Amino acid sequence: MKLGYLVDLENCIGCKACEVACKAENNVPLGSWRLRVKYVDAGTFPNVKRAFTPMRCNQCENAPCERSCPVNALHFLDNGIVDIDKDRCIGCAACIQACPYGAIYMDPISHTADKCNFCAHRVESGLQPACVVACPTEANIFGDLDESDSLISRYIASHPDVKVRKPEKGTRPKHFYVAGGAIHLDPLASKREDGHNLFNRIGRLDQPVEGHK
Amino acid sequence: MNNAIVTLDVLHQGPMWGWYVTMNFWAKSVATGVMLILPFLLMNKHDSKRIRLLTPALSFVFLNITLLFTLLDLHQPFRFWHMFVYPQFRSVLNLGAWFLSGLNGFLLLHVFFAWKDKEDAYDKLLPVTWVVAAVATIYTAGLMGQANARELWQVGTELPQMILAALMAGSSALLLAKAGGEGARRPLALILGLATGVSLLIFLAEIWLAPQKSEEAEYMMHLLLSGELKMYFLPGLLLGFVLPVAAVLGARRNPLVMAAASVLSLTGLWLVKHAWLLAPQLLPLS
Repeated sequence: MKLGYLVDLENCIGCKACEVACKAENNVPLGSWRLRVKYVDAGTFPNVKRAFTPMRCNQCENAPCERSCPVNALHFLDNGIVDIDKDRCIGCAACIQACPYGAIYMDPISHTADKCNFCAHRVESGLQPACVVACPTEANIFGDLDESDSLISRYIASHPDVKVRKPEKGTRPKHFYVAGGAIHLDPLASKREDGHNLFNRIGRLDQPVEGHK
Repeated sequence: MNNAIVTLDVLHQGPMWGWYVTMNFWAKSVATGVMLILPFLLMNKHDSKRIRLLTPALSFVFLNITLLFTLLDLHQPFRFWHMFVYPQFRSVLNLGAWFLSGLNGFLLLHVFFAWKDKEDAYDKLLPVTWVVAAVATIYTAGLMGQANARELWQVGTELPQMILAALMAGSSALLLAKAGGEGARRPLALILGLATGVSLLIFLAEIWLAPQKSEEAEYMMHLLLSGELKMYFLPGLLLGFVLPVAAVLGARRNPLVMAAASVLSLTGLWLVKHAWLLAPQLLPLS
């Protein structure tokens, strides 16, 4: 079994229901995120478009976080999910330096690394991840990539524009995007500066959560 | 794409590895550098009880500064023992923990043997300690190499730069400690000058070539040369690399000039390593 995730960006409306569901399901502390939806505005008025990109752990087959963890806190489950044992984690942040997707954060309550694990506790009980259930447009598709009849496998087979983030890193992500362009998937394809944001600051924290300056 | 703007996202977290880790790298360079240079001094007739005792003692102190800052940087420092009971040997960080701990033990033995005038035992152990010190020097390059998200640390020159940093820091520390007396000053100055000169050349090559490698590398070079890290990187290159090379070329026989060059070298090394550590962490990853 190899569990994977696909987001059809054509269907995503940027409602952030997935983000909220994830926060509630996993008790993610304030200021930290296992999953978030990024908005990028592109074009020149009146020809402008807003792109929505949900981002979470890519559950890489060749996971650099798992390889760099000195105490085996990050480990593979039999179903391919990269999970974290928070009781074992020493909080060295090597995994944060290794993840090219910025998907791992330091939990300010447990003082250990944390990230999306495709809601492994729900999957174990035969349920879908909370973000999949919450999506009103069924933009999120979750399933077994080894099973050729699964919805995700059929979706990938029938869509020629399936992409992953940063394939050049050789991490073999199991998180796919349909209809993802550069502004969705490349962090340097859009400007990131305060002054153009909708509700919150998007620059950089003066003192990182759990970081040392 | 200049007309694409992020309008809603979470804040960029900023660097997770800050000055504690710079202190770790810097102190480790001194600790392993002095031990890498020690056999060279002993073989070149600068042998004395002082140098046999002082060098491992100096190394021991700086190695424990390294370990202290490693511990302080952990968010769960009281779980440090997990490194040894749940080891993951594909992690370079874990391998480093074993090598640094081993080196600590060997250094204590060297101090003991030097104190008790047991030269035979000291000399038999020295090749082993030298190899462990060499591995402890270069393991950091492996650690940086495993940081898949940090383009700048994954360059092949990181390994020679670690060795050169150790030689710079080691020779500077030994010059300041007046180890080996008057006679050792000249060879130590030469080691300092050569290591600093080669390291500077590698940095200049990186600055020249990196922007052609990738968009990420170009962004980081901008941060180092004209962005928010220029106040660390440029003074660091001048103080720690250009001036010490000039001092060695112009006045390596002058003890005061060499002492000043050593202080500058240690200061500049810290600044440059700090900038190099921060630069890729300021890059947005998603």
